[in-house]
Amino acid sequence: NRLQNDMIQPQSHLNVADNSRARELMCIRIIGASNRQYAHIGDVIIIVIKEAVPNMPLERSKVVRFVVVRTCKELKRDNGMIIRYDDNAAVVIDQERNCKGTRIFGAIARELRQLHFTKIVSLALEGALPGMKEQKWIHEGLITDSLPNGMFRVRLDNEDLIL
Amino acid sequence: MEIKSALLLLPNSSLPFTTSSGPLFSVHRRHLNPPEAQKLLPLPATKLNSWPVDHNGGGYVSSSLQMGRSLKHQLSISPGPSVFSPMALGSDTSVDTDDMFDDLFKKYGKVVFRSSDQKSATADIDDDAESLSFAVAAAKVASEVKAGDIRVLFVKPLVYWTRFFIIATAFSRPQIDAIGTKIRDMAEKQFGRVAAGDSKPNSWTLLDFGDVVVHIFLPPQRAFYNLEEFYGNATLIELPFES
Repeated sequence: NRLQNDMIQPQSHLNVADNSRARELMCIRIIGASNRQYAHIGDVIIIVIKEAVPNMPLERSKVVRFVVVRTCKELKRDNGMIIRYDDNAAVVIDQERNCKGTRIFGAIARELRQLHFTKIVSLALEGALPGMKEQKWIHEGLITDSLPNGMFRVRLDNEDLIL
Repeated sequence: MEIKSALLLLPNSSLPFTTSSGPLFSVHRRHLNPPEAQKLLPLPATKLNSWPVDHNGGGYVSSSLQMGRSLKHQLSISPGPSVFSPMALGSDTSVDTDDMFDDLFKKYGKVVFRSSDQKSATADIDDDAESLSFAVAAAKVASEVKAGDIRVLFVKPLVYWTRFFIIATAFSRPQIDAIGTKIRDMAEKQFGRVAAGDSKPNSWTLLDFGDVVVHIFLPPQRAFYNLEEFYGNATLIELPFES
């Protein structure tokens, strides 16, 4: 379990959240301003593929664009909810923001929809991490901690959520 | 709290990914007494199957289909051990037991969080009807522009973030553009809705109207992404016209 919370920056390694057959990725650049330092969920980054399943269209040492979908760095929402995942993961996209993979694995945050990546959300089976407002079912969370300010840390699958 | 096993609520056909191999399994359901139910926010369980991995051939239940309605009655489905499935008996214990829930309740009290804007059942149905009329109108517009194979899927039980999907095939990029603009115009005039989503035509153009999402594909893309298979459990809405 990661103890550090770092955002994605060049040289960061990420997992792949879709079925595009890449395995391990390394960030080399973040799209945005010229010396943009960190990427969060919903940012497009340039990636070099460090490891991939052999004989697939995505090869090792190929340079591609990916969208970050999960970060170990927590994501804050306006309603005070904080979401933190256990891994850093990204999904491959092309220039037109289409996914190259066909299915997305793992939890996907609602923010991706607001950033116009609804396609990613619609390919994700686990839907997005349900905000308390729109979820139609309630996720079971194992309450791990009671925090001093009256909130609880809840563990869901591979995420922590602080309520 | 009584624990009932319920086989009835989840018809076999609607369970994706779980009942591939034989054993019938029952799902423990915790039924809360009505007076308590008002106060209680169940901390229940739903573990969705992650596609395409199948956990233990039946240990987890995809409860998405019935939960929307049943939640109103404060029922919960616990992923607890499927008693009748021989595979689950010695299964990994990432599945929590009822005892643990009881302990948590005792320790932290019953009400943890309650969302204050859950609508009543009738209001929800009205919203659904409104979205449905919008979806059908959009599908009609698409058929006027000669889109192929238009499907309207009711995905609300599967997906929390939207209600309806409209999937259509366009045979050329200008046609995608045409369908997109016509749908947008219609939405703005008749329903006053604005779409988020792709503004430039794309081989997969998506128009996001909040509770209705329109997907316009080129034929190779439609086969590639195969959304109908992915949302195979969604009910297809009958369209009043030929497509």
